[in-house]
Amino acid sequence: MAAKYRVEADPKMCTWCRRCELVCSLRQEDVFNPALSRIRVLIDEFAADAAIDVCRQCETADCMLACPVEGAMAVDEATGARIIVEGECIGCGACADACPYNSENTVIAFNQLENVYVKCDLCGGRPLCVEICPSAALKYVEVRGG
Amino acid sequence: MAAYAWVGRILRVDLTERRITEEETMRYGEKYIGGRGVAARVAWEEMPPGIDAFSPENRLLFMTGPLTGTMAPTAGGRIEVCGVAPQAYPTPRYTRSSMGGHWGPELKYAGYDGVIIQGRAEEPTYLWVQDGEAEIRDASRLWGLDTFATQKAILREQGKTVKVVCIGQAGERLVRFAVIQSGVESAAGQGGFGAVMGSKNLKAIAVRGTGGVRVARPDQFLDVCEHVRQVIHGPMPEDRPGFSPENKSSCLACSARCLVFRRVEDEVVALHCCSGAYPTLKPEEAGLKAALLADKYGLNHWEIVHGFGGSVGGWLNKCKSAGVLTEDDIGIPLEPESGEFLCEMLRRVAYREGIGDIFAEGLARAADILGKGRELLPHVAHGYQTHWDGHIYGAPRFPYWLVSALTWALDSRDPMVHGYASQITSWWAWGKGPLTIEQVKRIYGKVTGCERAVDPEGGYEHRAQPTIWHQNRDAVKDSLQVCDIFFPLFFSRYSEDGYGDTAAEANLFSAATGVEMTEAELDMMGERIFNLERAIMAREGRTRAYDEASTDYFKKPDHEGVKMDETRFRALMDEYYDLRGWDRVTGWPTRAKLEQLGLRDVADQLDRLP
Repeated sequence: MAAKYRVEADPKMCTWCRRCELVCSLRQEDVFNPALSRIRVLIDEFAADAAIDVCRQCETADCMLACPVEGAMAVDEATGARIIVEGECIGCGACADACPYNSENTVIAFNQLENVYVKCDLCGGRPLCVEICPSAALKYVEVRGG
Repeated sequence: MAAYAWVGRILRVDLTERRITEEETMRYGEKYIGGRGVAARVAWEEMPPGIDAFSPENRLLFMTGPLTGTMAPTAGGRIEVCGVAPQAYPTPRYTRSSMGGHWGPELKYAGYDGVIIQGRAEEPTYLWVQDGEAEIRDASRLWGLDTFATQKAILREQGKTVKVVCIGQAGERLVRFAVIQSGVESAAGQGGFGAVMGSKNLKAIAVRGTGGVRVARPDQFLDVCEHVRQVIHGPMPEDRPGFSPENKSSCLACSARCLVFRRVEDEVVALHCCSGAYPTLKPEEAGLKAALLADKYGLNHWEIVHGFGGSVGGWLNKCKSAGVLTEDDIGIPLEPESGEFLCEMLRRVAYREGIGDIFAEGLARAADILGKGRELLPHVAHGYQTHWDGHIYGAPRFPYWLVSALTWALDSRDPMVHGYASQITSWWAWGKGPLTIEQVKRIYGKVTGCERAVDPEGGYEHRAQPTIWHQNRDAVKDSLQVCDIFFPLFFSRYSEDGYGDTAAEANLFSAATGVEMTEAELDMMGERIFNLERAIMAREGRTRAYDEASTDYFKKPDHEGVKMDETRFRALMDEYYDLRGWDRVTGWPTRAKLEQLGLRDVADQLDRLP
């Protein structure tokens, strides 16, 4: 199924508060824990620069293609989000390895306690990270033309 | 109680014995909150008076608060650093410095609410902390590096998400105003705690945590956070005048955007607060370079800006004008307005080379060693004048600086007085601010029960009450911890009547910990912490006589020619000690007050003092 929406990040607008990481981990995992956030702000203070890692909801999603478990990854019909299905993921990490943007496990993260991988599911269409960003660095946008 | 907000354990590292142990945070947290409060209790129990700052017996305490690592606005990134401070003059004493950034929260994500460092390592060492484990590691290859290079070396080895506190060359050489640095601009600045790390042969503490901080009532906590954010910063997205996306926040969860970046020689230097003085040096490029060098060597901007040069008229500028110091004393042409001169001085200080060896002792001691310029020194009693005391800058005006003077008299370091003096100055500004004096009075009356605490006509009346109120609240804010600049939230630009929300600290605390706490109850915790700190001072030999002497400089005329009336100020101090429940003669807390605050053991110990 086609991608419809994604979270678009503009690192130039980002003012480094990392509230997106905090609200994401709280809502998804009930804990303030950036390592479990589905969005990461990697600040390089020494270069006055930051990178924001969040799933791009690729049209051809390598993570989904790599997943060896039937039903462990799916597409949210409403948003087109590529999601990891709770209870089905076996924690093998094939998706995390396949993602071309995930060299530091910041796009697809590993939840060690539960032995599952986690990624952005677009919050069902109202991404909290976008709502909470104080500097309009994050936008919820329609994916155009694949 | 420890299931929420606190993560439960404090790490204790004995560098002499190379022994790492853990203890329960809640042994301290229940009565002393966190940060400054927990540190004070540890200091009371473990640091008898007479310990030198550089003695292995000295503890270096890194304490987070229950809000550290959460989304509480301005609070997520903060940590308190405490210990016997080498910068304190004339003798080292116990005091504190607070730091923002991202290191404190990372420590909690790694499973620790705080770190107690004691002893002294034989060789250069750094501490590695990761997810409930800690290890003392060899730092011989890091020793000698500046604070940026040290952090970059550790990040290269351990990955980008690691957070580091460290010292530069200044801390290694026990420069008395060496800072503990994290990132480009976050630092525990006052106190010279970087030199304490240096004395312990501890170059850095590097942390990575993949755990988290749980709060008791997540929905309510998010609501309180959003309310607090609105009180401070208004509607979303925050589009505040004077801010651009080029300004970045230095602390986790905060959108205040304190950092302003400039480029110098292919590197970035972050300026904020007093470091804004560097670009006024000539040429500007060299001034910026000096700011960068201060960060890299790990030196305290406050001491540099007041001492060596810059826009506020540093000590060297004054000494030069008065002919007190010349090139013959310094060894190089004395040009305090020159950025190049400052770069060279900072290098000499950081490496203790030539005259730098004397200045590395801090200005107060340098003046003693040189035997010159004492009367021109901005360093008075336990710190630097100028910070919201109405005597170098014009604000605040009389009678508000009486509260600054009282706060000075009772503190162990140069107090910030942000909560009272700076807030009144920015919100009312004598008719030029966003609020009227009637609004300010009404709000103060509502919160503290004393409208006259902010009465510009009140003279010496009602100055002890706000001093006490703010001292207690400051102890709370340094323990939770929330930002000293914004809290308490008396005022807001975004409410109809101008009132902010002074219950914010209590509401954040309650929702985070699940321990229901009113504003008044939390302030009582602050009072307990403040009294315990006073007991530490009493044990160190602090008396009322010292308190009084420390306000000598308020006897000089302010910008409008107003001088402190010594007799009336002494009466005000009487009133202060009485309201505190302290002895007027000694200035020490009475047994009755200590017992009321649950500090009977402290009273017992004070009784045994000569």
